[in-house]
Amino acid sequence: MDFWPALGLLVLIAGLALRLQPMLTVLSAGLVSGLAGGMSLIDILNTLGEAFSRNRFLAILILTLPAIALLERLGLREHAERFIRGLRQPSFARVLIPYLAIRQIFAMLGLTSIAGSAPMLPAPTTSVCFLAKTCSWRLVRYC
Amino acid sequence: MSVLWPIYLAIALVMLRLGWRRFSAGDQAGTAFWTVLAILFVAADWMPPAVVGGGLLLVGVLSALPQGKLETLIKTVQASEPRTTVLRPALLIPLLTVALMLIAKTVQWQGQPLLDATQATLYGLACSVLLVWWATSFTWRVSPRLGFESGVEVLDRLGWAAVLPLALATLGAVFAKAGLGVLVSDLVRLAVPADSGFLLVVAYALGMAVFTMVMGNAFAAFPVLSIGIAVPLLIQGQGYAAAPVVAIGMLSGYCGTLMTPMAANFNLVPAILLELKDRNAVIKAQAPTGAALLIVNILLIYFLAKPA
Repeated sequence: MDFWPALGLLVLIAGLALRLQPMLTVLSAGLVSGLAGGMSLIDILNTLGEAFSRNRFLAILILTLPAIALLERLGLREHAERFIRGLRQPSFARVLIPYLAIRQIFAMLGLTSIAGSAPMLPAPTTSVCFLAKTCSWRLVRYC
Repeated sequence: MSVLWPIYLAIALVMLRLGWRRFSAGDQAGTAFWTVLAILFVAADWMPPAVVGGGLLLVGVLSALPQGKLETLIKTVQASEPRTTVLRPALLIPLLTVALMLIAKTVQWQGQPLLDATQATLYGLACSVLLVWWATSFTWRVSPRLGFESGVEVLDRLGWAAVLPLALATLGAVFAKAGLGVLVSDLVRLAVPADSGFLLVVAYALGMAVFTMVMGNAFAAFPVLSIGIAVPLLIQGQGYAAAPVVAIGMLSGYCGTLMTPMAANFNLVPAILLELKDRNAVIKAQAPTGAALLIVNILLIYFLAKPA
């Protein structure tokens, strides 16, 4: 049995446990795993480069930052809090059930690839954090 | 040239701006980190893959160099008037994204759809955030630069976490090529008696969750474990029904997603954006759900897929 490819996994776990820089840890793990698995350096660089080009869209989060940051500057969080405060008998269920229903409908329409990522989250997440405060839920320590 | 290139260019512009501000602040490592990334984003289509891979390694090294702190450029914020609510533009982003995506899907070029589903979604999101950014600046009578510079500052706070999912995706590709899947399969064959369906199901679901926790992405774990365990041992070996095994197997991977800092875009980025005191708050809140769901998933695979 060829155990060598698992060396990269060890590098990854050790690097994260030692709190080394995660980017460097991840890339080193790939390098180690590839070399240990018998790939040539050029092979590894090719694989890295192709995977990078194919997956660049994962960074679309960055493009949403101007809009999100602007709304935050204009008081998005305070407005979300005021909105929740205005609800009669706010509860987790009353906020989360409609929110999850909307997410489900969006996913049905085909918004699966991004609907879960951060830009879609801030408004509802802040609302939940605020709810946690008002309902003195145990989540309060996280907010 | 990728059909998504305009989006990559826009992302690179935000990165370049951060690089420039890092340069003004006299921080060389930060400048190089964001500039190299921006170049890779724009030019990867024209560079040999090996050069892109080398650039990515360089970015990794740069991220580990000590980086200077950046002071906030925009300190004064005009207080928003209490009567106007920014909730509306915030809610407009997802709504516009869906609408634009549905439109983008129908665009045709010489009888062929121009964009596939993922590309249409990405264009929908990109156009909707740009529209909301522009419209909000216009309505609230602030310069569009306020949003842009604020976004750059948020990116600065996120730092490497913003591109970690990308690095993990490349790691998954290398792991697969290095033969990690074969090793997993061999190990499971050794450890689990081949006639014990339940233990194989446990190994598969648990393996999906653990691999996802390590790699940060269920899609990276899925081929490794499905080719390693699900297909040869469960489906072909024991006659389990393929659809429930792999569908719920994927779901077991998502249980891992709930419990790992490696899924940075779900678990770390929101914590940073919301300025939570504890960066792991999201994970701590999700872990019990993830563990409970994993147990349910194991039972579901076993009882739904087991041959009668």
